[in-house]
Amino acid sequence: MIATGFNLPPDEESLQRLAPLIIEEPDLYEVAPETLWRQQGDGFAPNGFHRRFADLRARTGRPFVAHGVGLSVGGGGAADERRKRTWLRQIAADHAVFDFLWYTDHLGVSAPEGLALTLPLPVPYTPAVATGVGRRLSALQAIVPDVGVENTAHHFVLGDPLDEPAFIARCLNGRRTHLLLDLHNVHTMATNLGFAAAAYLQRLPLEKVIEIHVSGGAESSPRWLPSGRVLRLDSHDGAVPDEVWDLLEAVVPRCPNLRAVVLERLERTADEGDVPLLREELRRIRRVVA
Amino acid sequence: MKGYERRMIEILTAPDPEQALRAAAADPSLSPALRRAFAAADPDGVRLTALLVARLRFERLLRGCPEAAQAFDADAAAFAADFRRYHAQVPPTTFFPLGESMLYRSWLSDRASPTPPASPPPSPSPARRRSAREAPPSRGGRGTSADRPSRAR
Repeated sequence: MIATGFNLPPDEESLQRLAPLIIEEPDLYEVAPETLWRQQGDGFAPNGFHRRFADLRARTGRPFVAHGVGLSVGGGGAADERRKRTWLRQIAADHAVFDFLWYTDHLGVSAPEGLALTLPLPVPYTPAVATGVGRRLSALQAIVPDVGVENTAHHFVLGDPLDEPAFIARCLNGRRTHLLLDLHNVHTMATNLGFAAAAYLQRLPLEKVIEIHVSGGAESSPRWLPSGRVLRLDSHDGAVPDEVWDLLEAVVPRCPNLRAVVLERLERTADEGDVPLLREELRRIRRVVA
Repeated sequence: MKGYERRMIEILTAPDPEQALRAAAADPSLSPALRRAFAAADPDGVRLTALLVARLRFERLLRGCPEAAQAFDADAAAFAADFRRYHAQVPPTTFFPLGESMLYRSWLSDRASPTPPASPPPSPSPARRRSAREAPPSRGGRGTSADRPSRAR
């Protein structure tokens, strides 16, 4: 069975508004572990959402998967090694509580030279970088055996974007390494960088896909850039667009090892009127994977 | 590619990221492969990425520092100008709101001292709280715990 999942918002107001949906619809929950931490000395301690989601797990008995935002698996600088070790220690503590089925993070550098840019930057598609990504995934596997990367919605890349799928395949040549295929990210990059999403998917190692993300997004304001150009944003703040549904229907049958499709929605972007839409989106996912 | 990460930081925190990108693409001290990579990057995409990086830091600061949030509510334009200077002058060494708050307070304190640090020109930044549809994306929002990082996707 392919599970239908929901990315839990670390936000009190959103959790209250979505409480019935969160209990009634998903088979599986996804969390961004770092949003469950607070700084304590040189390390971290669980924050209030950590306890709340642990309670949800105990109450529902449903599995959790982790989708991190800060491991910076594409970053290779020695300056970031100490931070990565601290990160891994807290991931181990979280895994002891949530028993994650798998752990993924974004393919990119979110902490170049150890600095907190927090947005994953694109990496050069070189064999050396792919080897480094594999090495960092291997370190993560010492904690959670099944690990992977998500294709990120970069607004620029350092080569031909249609070379990225082959690079992803090189990053994921280890045992029990997987791809989290984010279809809105593919749609966003295809729109902004001018390629066909289908061509990108055609080149991906789809047998590596363990999870798919679907979400919505928005457009940037023409005032943001001197050129006036409008770019698509991976903002997770609206309905899943038709293009992403079409990609989902086309790709699910081609992913033989797919285990979950997860809906993402940015905290504090869904008002009361959006709850029926989110419920229908979860049900539509369930129909597609049935 | 050696030097890539350091150069990306410089580009994304520069007052003019596009100009910094062009300079990197022409810098003979970088490897030919890295220069080619920078030359191939979409300048608008680099600019937008710089805006998103600033936006995430801005949200981190507002979540961790009540005084900053109050200052923003009192005079958004003045606070945005201050934030641009802060972002240009202080490297982002912390991932969590409370750490960002400490950095900001330290910067304010230095600025108030008799020998303030030199001010480079402000970098472009959205630096304004807008509705979710208008603003660059983040995984921000104020929850029961202020000290958690934003979720950038």
